[in-house]
Amino acid sequence: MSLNLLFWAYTLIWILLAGYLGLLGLRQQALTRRIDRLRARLEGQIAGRQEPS
Amino acid sequence: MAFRTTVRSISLWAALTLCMLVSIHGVFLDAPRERVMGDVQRIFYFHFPAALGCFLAFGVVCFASVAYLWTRERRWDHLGRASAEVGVLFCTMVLMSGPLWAKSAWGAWWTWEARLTTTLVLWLLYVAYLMIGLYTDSREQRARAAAVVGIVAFLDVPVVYFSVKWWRGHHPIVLGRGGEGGLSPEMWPIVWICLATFLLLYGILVGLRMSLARAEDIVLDLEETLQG
Amino acid sequence: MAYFHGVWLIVRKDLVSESRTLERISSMLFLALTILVIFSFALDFSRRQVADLAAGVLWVTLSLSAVLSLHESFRLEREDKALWALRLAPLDESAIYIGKLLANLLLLGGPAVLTLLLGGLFFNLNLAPVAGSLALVLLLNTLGFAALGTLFAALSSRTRRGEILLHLLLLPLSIPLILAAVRSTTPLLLGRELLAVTLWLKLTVIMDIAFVTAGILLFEYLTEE
Repeated sequence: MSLNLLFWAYTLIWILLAGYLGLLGLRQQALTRRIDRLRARLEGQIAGRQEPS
Repeated sequence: MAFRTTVRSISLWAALTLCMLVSIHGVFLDAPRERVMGDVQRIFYFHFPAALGCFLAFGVVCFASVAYLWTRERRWDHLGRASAEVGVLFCTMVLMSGPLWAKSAWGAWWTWEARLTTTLVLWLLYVAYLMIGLYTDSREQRARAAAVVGIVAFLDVPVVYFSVKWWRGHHPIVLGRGGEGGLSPEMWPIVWICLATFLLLYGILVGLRMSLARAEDIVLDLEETLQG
Repeated sequence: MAYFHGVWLIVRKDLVSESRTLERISSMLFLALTILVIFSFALDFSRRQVADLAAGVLWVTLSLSAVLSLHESFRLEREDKALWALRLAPLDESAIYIGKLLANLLLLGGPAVLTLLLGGLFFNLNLAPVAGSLALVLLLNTLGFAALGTLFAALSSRTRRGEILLHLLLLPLSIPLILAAVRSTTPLLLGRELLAVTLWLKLTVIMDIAFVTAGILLFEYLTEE
């Protein structure tokens, strides 16, 4: 039984680490999407201002 | 410039991977089998560094909190946040491995001994720290509030530890030096290796989280400017 | 001198506004009574020897009901933007903190004493011989709890749902206080004299000093807009 506990102890560490890195990755993805949206809005604004009136 | 950053991050990750491999090899192949508890004792080789890393992380949170209140520079808030998250991560590792070890070594999942109890209280405190953002209206407010909590929480830690120790004084259960958790001299090099690995892990994770926080801050600034 | 006058003004303001509705005192008292009753069912007071549990039950009851009262201590300031007006006055923030702390000490202490008496009733305790010692323990621990609570209440009253934040922050941080309180009270309730608990009382005093100092130093950062 003790080897079983030992195994789970070490495995849990990896799971926790992977989980945290995964969370960071998700946040980064969300951030990239926000940046893309921002860029689209900026380009829209610039294009709007350059419209011949 | 971008290439330099890539080289740096690759080398850091490579260093971490190597350290982890060396650590695991050392833990399972070089470390002697403990007389009393057997192989389960090997949990100690990451349980202890995680606990130290956790404590270091929260110390950094306190330092960053003071620095933020002093200078009002956002990067200290980012550091505090990042270090708190990694600290909670390490704390979770300690709290999960502790009972697994305790069950095998002493037959009980949980004992209210000073170190583990303090770690539990620590976990509660810093999860609350991370939740402050849900109850504040602006980034500045959150940063200030978190800084105050970060300072008070860290000051509370030794108080918690000693009061629990005095309370539990008559219990013979002891982790670490003396008693059943005693380390033989040939175990120490491996402990150092694992400590170094965790230190490196801490640095990389905090660095990652900080750059993410910085980027999110900049994007928020841009979004607010565009709206205004 | 103006400093202490300012502190007194704040204490008086809070006490006067409480005296109109007695809202904080009554809600804390009522919640404490309710919790005591729940404990009596959970722990089955009628059938077991409860004197050794009494202190623990009482301090948990006091802590939980006190958080309710503490959250209200800055509500008026928040709602009427009165905190902003206070800061415009030539008054150091630490004076506001100390004033609020003293007011909270009184507004928590009153119901606490009544709860203690109720506990004596429910648990069939003999409080008379240790009344003075109990009063000291109550004072010291309420001071520490109020010190932390006043600081964090300034933070939690910012938003309506912030009450949860007060619970999340104050309760874990007060664990050593509650521990020391129970460790100080239990021997007294079991008939020992004050000398037996001086170690825990000293710990409480250290905590009080630390928490009040932290409050004085850090309060100003939580009152900025």
